[in-house]
Amino acid sequence: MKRCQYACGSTEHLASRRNFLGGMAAGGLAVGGAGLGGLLSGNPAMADQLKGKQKRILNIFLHGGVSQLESWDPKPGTDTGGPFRAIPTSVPGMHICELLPHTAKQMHHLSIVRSLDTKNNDHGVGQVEMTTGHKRIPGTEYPHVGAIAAKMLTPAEFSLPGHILIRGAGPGSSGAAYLGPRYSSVTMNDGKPPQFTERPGALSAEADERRNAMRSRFNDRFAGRRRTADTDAYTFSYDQAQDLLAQREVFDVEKESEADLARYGTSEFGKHCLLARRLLEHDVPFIQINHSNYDTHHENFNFHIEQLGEFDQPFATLVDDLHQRGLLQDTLICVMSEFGRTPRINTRYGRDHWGKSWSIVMGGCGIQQGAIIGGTNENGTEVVDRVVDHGHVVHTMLRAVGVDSSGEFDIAGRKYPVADPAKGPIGELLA
Amino acid sequence: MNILPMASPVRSFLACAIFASICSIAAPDRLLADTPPVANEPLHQRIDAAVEHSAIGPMAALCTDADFVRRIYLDLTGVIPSHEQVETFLADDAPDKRARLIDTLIEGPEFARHFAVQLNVLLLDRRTDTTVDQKAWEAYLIDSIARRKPLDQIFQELIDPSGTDDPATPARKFLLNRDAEPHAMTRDVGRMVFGMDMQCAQCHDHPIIDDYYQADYYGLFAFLNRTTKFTDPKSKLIVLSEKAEGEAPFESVFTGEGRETTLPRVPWGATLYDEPTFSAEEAYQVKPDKENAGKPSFSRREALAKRLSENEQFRRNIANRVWALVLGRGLVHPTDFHYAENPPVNPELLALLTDDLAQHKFDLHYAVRQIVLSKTYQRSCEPPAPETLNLADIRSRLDALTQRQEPLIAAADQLKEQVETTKVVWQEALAVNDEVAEQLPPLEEKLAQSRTAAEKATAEHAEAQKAYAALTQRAEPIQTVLTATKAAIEKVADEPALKESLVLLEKRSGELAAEMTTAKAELDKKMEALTAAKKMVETTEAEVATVLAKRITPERLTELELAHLSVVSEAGKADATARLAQAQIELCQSILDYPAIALSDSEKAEVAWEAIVNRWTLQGQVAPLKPLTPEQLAASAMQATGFLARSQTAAQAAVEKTPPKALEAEGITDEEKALVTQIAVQGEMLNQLRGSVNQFVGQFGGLSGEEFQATVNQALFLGNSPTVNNWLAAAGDTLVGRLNATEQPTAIADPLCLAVLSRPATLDEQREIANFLTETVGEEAGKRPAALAELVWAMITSNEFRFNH
Repeated sequence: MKRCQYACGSTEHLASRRNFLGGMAAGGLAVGGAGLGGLLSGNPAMADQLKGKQKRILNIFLHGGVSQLESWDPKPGTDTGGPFRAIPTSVPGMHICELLPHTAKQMHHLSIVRSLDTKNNDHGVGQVEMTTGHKRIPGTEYPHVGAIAAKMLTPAEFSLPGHILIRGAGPGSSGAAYLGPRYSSVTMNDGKPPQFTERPGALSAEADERRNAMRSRFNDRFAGRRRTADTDAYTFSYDQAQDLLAQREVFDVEKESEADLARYGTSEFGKHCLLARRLLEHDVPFIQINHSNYDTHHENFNFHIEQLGEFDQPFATLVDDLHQRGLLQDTLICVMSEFGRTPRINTRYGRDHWGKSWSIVMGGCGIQQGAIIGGTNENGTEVVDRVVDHGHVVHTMLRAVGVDSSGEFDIAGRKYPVADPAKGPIGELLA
Repeated sequence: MNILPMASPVRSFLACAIFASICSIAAPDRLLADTPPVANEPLHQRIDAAVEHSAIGPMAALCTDADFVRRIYLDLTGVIPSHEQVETFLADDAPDKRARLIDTLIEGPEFARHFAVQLNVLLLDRRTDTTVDQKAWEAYLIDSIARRKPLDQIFQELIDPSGTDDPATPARKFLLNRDAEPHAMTRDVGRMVFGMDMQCAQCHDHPIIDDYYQADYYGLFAFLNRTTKFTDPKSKLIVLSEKAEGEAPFESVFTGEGRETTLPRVPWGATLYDEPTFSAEEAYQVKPDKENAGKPSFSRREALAKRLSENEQFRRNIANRVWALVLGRGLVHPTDFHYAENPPVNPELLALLTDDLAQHKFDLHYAVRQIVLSKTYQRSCEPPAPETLNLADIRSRLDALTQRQEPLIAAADQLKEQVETTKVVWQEALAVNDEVAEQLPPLEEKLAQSRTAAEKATAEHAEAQKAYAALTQRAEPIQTVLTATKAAIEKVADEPALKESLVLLEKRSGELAAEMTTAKAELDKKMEALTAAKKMVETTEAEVATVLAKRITPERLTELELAHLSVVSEAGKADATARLAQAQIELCQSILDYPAIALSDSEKAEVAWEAIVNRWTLQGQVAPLKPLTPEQLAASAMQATGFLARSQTAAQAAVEKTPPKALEAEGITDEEKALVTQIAVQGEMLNQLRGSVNQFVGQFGGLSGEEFQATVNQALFLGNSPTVNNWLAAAGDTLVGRLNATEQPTAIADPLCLAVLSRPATLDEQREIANFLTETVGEEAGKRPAALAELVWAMITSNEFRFNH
């Protein structure tokens, strides 16, 4: 498939056309909205932010709210501790719950934040707040951190999606709000290839090429009448689509070796982790894996044996693989939930929703290794050191991959902070 | 393949430059319109005059009939015309056929649906909620537009739904979609009703926009912060409830200057100085409690609604929004940011539209009709070629503009000074009242005290008087007996009893006389104190009256504020005019610089030329390319492929099967019946299209004012989705089916182009399409539908289809 031959062949070129127009605007030949645009800090230029290799984010979202006491902040032998032991990890002095024996061996790559107080016990609100870093306000939508990452980290000549959601549970897509549809998630339901990456049954690759060639001819003829940055961008999106179809195998985890498939196990989450590795190897800027089902109002302990049993080995394997393959230094890993679970054990051996004192894990690109940030009291009912919330978490994620989280987006003349301007990153967590 | 046949502007310009250097004739390339529009002409002519007045360089020609028919259908009905509609229009020879088609479409049923869809997107930002049924809300919008409800009335109903007859009016969705949260309402009423997004002024004066103050934000907030969402416990109906109290205090997080409170004030409008006050018992018509939504005796939200029509910024925003709905971009852009540094691209045109729309009762049909009748709307999207530039004309224009610039700046500066003067006068009046408000309480306290003191003095005086009177009463009989005893002694001198009595009586009388002297003295003293206290009351009363007399009446304050605002408005216009002159000077300069660039660097020349064409587009000299909205794109793809007719039939059938209840009303006229049915069909049509449209919205976004984005997902969706693929099927009533019934390969291009691109095929296309079919199908007729589907797809995904041109 050849590209159209005029100079539109890359988004870089489009960007430079637009930049030039922007420059004209600042010089007074107002191409519209210039007054505001000129004064705003605008999008930090991609090139400046991406000195070095492609940065990536992998966010693992444990839906329902994983128990911090059965994972990252165990309190054995207390009234709230439950039946499990704490085990040592590869970081001297750091203990995590015995349900995560494989992960324990990888903790020298990761850090724990044990001091989240997100002041919320609602699933929907927690999901939005943890992944946007903004307090939810009625009638206002903020972009998912994946959309921000896709906007800031996707290179110009990149035809794969910048923001992929590998979905086992949870909402079907992650929105981009004012950043626009380009940055909303492409969803891989149950790890299947994204929608519309398969040609309709009767359409052969040759026929597709043929009809695209016709489309190009129609476009060329129309370009003789009027050509704008918009028409160029539209034409280019079809070239990208063809490139993506040609790389479709990127989405097919079955193309991995038998040995790897075996190492990651047969569980859905295992496949999703291997798929994430495959996508990260292809430099996809943001991937989120949703893993369920942690909403354990009943039988919290049995459920956590099951769920974390599914989580532990593939996750540990993925961290180790990324490290072995040299990908970890440019990949930020984050494991989060919408909230934690109550220290108090209810009458059904369950734990309920708890946003007051819980934990997340981060590691890889831009993050300290083996650190413990903040802490809770003896039986985990309160944060006693370094209270943080979703705002700090999203700032930290973005800063870790080199995005200036205190900057602003300038979208059609309106400005939006990249992250909550009232918050900042957790400085001591950053490498 | 893909060799670009685009005429090179660079090469053409070289020819032009050579031509100009030979001839150097200064032929005017348009009427040199330094004459402003005339007031009594139809609006569309005045629009054109205003555009020509500020134009620099050539204007694009009027668009072709084929461009026009596609454009007008998309802009007035939200979908491309059917091939029959195109053919009918192109075959019509009448010179007034464009005006007639405009009238037909504006009076037609789809107009209301298309504008309801656009209003829905504008008002709800594509957010869903469950407070008011989406279909009922759409029906409300369609009904409002179909019945030509003035736009100011629609906005009044959105802000104050209780102002309508129907307590359950779907209009309440606008505020309930924001959960009736005061800051969310303030932000979006600011944006959509006044064109001012003051969100950044919530916590401090706007850091970038000098004209947005925290007090502006809280002035609007004060109209809305007494309102909350209320769910009726019985009916579960969600409505708005309002309290009778609650002020709008605010504090800057920057200055730390302490809390201020603002009265309700429309942004860049008058303050509510004369708010009626009620006693606690009379504060409510319906008191808010668990069972009832509150309805205060004076509703601030209603007061806001009532103030819209007369508010200058509301009018300007409405004019700008209507322009943006038709032309794809506001004269002020972004439409949410009216302020000095972001002036309208043509201030004269915006002022003209603002005044004329208000005079025509904010009638959407009138406004849209006039806009689309204008030459400005009907211009071609093809920019004039560089060789049509008349550099001598541009040069003389530049000289004239440069000469005009200084006086314009001086005039603007002078008005800016006047703004300060009138502001001082108004602020001084406010300061007087502040001073009064400060002086009054201690004086009133003093008055109360002196009144208490006077009361006390009166009481004490009365007491003393009473004591004195008592003594007098007691002394009288003793005096009488004393006198009688003395007389008796004179007659009987040696009576010892009398003598003894006399001694006793004289002693007692003496004692009483002494007591009376003391009491009299006390009485006199109390009288003196009473007089002094009364005097003090009088003096203090006079002092209070003097201070009160200084207070300025609400009427006078409003008068001063309005005088100030009118100068602000004038100054804004003068400033915008001066800024426009600057932009025009720079455009002249860019055009004059172009020949040198064209000769030296073709890449730079291409960019420079694009910048010039972009500015011409903004100024209305060239028609814009407008990306189709997701709704337009979905419906147009269905129209092209023959699938829209199916939805239309289904919508008709659904309404026939379940006719609207309103048809059963007693004494309903035939005309009303037809209207009600038509509105129901259009609402049902949205329902029929919802599934497809939602898929397109998911891919293409389409928030109002959003920047164009082309994404790989969109291309994959249009390429591979079952939805689009199904539209390429060959059935009796589909485009592919119809084309498949035409045997001659050379006879395919015309019906194909008419259906998809709303124009006949060119000769090139006829040849190309015939070749494509022959090569692809060969001798295997079975391959023909697939080949035709490829052609239809290639056209639907082309730029010519994606953009409204």
